[in-house]
Amino acid sequence: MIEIKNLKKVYSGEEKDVEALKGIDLKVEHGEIFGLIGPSGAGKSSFIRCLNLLEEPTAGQIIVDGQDLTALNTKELREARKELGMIFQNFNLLNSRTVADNVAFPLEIADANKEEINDKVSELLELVGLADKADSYPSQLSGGQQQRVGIARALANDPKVLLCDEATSSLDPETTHSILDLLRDINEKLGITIVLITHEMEVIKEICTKVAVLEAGKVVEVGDVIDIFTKPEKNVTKKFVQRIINANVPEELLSRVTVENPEHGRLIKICFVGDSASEPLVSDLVHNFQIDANILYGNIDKIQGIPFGTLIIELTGDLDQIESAIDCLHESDNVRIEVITDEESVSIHY
Amino acid sequence: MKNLLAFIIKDLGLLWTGIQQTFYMVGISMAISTLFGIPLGVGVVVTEEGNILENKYINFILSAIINVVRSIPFIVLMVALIPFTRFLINTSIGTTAAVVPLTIAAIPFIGRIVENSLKEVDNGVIEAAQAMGATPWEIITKVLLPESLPSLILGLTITAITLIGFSAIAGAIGAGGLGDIAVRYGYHRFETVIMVKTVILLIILVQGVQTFGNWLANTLDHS
Ligand SMILES: Nc1ncnc2c1ncn2[C@@H]1O[C@H](COP(=O)(O)OP(=O)(O)O)[C@@H](O)[C@H]1O
Ligand SMILES: [Mg+2]
Repeated sequence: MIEIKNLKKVYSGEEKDVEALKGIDLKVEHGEIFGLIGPSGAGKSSFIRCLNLLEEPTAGQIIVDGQDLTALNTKELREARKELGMIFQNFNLLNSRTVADNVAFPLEIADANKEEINDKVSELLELVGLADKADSYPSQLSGGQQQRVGIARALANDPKVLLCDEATSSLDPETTHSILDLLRDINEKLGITIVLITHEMEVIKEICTKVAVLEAGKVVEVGDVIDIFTKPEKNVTKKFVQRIINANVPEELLSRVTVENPEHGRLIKICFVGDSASEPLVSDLVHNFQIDANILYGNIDKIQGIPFGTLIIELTGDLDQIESAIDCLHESDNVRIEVITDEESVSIHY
Repeated sequence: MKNLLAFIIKDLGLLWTGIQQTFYMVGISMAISTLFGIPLGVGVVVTEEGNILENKYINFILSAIINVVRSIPFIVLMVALIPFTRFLINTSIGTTAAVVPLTIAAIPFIGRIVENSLKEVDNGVIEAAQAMGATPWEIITKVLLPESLPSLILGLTITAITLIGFSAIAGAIGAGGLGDIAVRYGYHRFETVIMVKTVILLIILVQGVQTFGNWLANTLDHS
């Protein structure tokens, strides 16, 4: 569907040039929700803006449906852009137009007639749940509603691809959730491929099927979301994953005696994926190593419909036995464990 | 009471002619200068570096036009334009003759105002239009101008008020209008009453224009 080949972007400045994208190769398949995550300044915005050539790539190709966008002339590019809808962090709606007229804008540009426009606008407003706001102005809407208008507008010319530039970053968590639900709906109902960029792992977790991790202008890791979550390899990725998982660990556990005084035992976090049974795992530990295991916390989340669990257990008893038990857990394929210490940097074993 | 009425009615004919002439001069020059000033301002903005029709040379020329004409005081411009005015309408004296320098002065004035208004339009909105495949013409007519309309209206209001002021200066070349009456009767003939009356009328006129402009801009502003 979309093939990005050796994409480079250099911003030439007065004093020195900024190399924002350093040769990116990615493939986005038809019907995917592809997420690109990265810390601030990694080049995410540059990347997504290069996809529809809002920013001209310094080198490389953007091939959408077999058509190389970088090879098109201005007029052809304008036509090609109608196949690529885009939504923005700040919505970018026209304040001078009503909701309905905002959605009509791309249709006017595509020279649709009045009747077609009216029909399509009603259909789209229905789809995004704003049929009753057709005659309101953007300034009378909440952020979430404005983004819905943005989505309706982006879909007006039946694009094959929807580009989302930090589309939920200025929304509160609840609204973010509802917008992401809407995007997933659109992806499923209309079969539109979605490419989104974000700095929030929550967004990736919630709707993406594939994810690429961008760091300093380079893709350092790419794969299915579930794999990235369970087997992150690069440090940036681990940090992103950890942030979202650690958010689940109750703060007070960090003051446990086993954390502050390691001679009393170990506090460990076990992450498991799918139906890999954790119960036998814990009871096996107790049997095989003659140690005590005390389950302090458990939580199951879902990524792409696959259960993804976190368990915090306290191991007490003979320290050597505890170490052997931890080693044994490391061997296990389905789980990932982590020893929680009182330091900020939790040591993670993969 | 009777005295007051008589006081008001006296000179009414004279003042009415003045009002008509002022409206005529300001109205015509506003209309023509808006016609030229808006394209001028739009041209400066869109040819700027990084904008939709980036063009260094055109941008330089248009900016130069605005800056040069704007830096000439109106009274100097008016005198300097006498040959041009004579060439255009065969006379350099009278109400119609005054329209020429007023228009020439107002075009770059409006150009600058349009430039400032268009620059207030959020760049993200322009990008959104580009991402939808809009042509530069569509961006100008469907995004830049409509989005800055309230601000443009306020700018045109300022222009109209400035032109009312300039039209009084144009009285010096026998342009007529309220300003001319104030100068002729008040200054040359010491008829203070007429002068006070014209001043009051001018204040009412300017206030009226400003109030109408504010109201219109407010009504059209949905942001
Ligand atoms: N228009 C620009 N001119 C110069 N440098 C830019 C421009 N846009 C982005 N950059 C630089 O490129 C790098 C990547 O920026 P960006 O793509 O915005 O990253 P992100 O969206 O991941 O925060 C940063 O170092 C940023 O300063
Ligand atoms: Mg960014």
